Amino acid sequence: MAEQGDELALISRSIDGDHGAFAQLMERYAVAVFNLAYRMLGDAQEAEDASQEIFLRAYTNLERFDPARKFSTWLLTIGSNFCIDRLRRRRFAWLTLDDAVASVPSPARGPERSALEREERDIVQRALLQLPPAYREIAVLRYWNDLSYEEIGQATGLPESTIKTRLHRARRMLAEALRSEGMVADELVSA
Amino acid sequence: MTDSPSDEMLDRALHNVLARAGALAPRRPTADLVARTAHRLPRTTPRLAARRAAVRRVLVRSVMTLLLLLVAVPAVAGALTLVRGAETPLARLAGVAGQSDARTGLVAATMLRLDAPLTRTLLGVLIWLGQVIATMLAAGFWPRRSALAGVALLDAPVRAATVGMLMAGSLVIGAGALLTLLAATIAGLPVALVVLLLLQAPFVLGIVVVARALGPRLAGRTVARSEVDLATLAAAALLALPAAVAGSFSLAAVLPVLYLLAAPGLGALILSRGGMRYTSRYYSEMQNG
Repeated sequence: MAEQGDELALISRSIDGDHGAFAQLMERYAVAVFNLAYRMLGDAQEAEDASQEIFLRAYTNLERFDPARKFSTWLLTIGSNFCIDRLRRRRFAWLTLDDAVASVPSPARGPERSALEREERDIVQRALLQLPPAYREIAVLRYWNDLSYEEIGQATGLPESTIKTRLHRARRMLAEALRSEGMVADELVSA
Repeated sequence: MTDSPSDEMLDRALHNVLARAGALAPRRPTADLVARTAHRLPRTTPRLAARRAAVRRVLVRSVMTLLLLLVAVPAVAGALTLVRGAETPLARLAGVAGQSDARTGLVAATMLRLDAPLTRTLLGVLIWLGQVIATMLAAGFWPRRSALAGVALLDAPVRAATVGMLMAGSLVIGAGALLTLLAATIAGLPVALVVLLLLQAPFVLGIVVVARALGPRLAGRTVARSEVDLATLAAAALLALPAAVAGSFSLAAVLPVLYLLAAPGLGALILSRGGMRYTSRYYSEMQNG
């Protein structure tokens, strides 16, 4: 509760033009915003650019923030809308999803275990990028940003029934993609 | 609507799989993300920034609409002129009355003098110098993105060349059709000239990208550096030679030569989304400089 009060104070100071206060807000949510952008766009550099734009939009629209809502949900709303817009504007449709994943920089080789984990993370990211943007958005908000159905509804403006339908399809598609890579058992997909 | 038992099971199972793979672990942005963003914040309150952004949006939209109208209106008028079969300004210029004057002028101004070795050499040098300057200016204005597009070209040269050739062909055909319509009216002629100049921009950028890919190879490195260096200048100088040589024989050959040279760079620009996207193969090498 104290943290929320502190957050509201930072927002209020930011509205008065205090950049230091807004920088503190950015520090708090940089990882969440960056991860949303990275999972949605599939490219670390593009996610960095997107995160900057999302924070700039948030600053410009800060007066419209309703203190009754959670700041994190409001910020992720801006982030998710921005990423969906950016995906729509990707004009060069002949670029395959594999290209987008291949663009993720590969780190130096580590021990076998970390290499295996890295491979599995890449498979998950590739599977995620195969989802249509509307489903990917819901899946990212649910699994990576840990939002409830209600919060996803606030972030996307969609009714709960639509969210559940999309999440259901997203899960199936993800499970199917992971099964084809041998990461989940057949029974799970047919369940 | 509630989740069915199988949905809940799949939800839990999927969550477990993602967690086990470490895919849910947050990925860290670069350490200076906040500092860089703070640096870009408007130096005003959010309210004033929002107002300025709204004004900017209206201005940009108005300018874009105006530019569109500036091209569309003469193009439509030109199409009507062509459909009606009326005489176009270019046809008038090429007509019997003007033909002899125009031909005399043209021959005097170009053909005869082009035969002189000194004129040819001077023209070739001018073309070479112009291209080198344009390439270096564009590379200097756009160092990082041109370097990254150069990386994309090294990463997939055949694909970049194919995409570039297709795009170059489409641009030439599309612009050719538009120029035909614009040149059919007197009002459209200056617009046609501007369109013709603008058409060269993607090809200049394509040449820059090729230079950024070729430069490090000439210097014996695998990838481009972010900053524009002597290697880029050497590559730009080398790339300007074919057009200069072609230009000293025939002016008409300059553009096709330039377009052919620029096509792979143009393709790389498209594949890397204007140098906004890293490609895997040379990324870490470039990071290490």
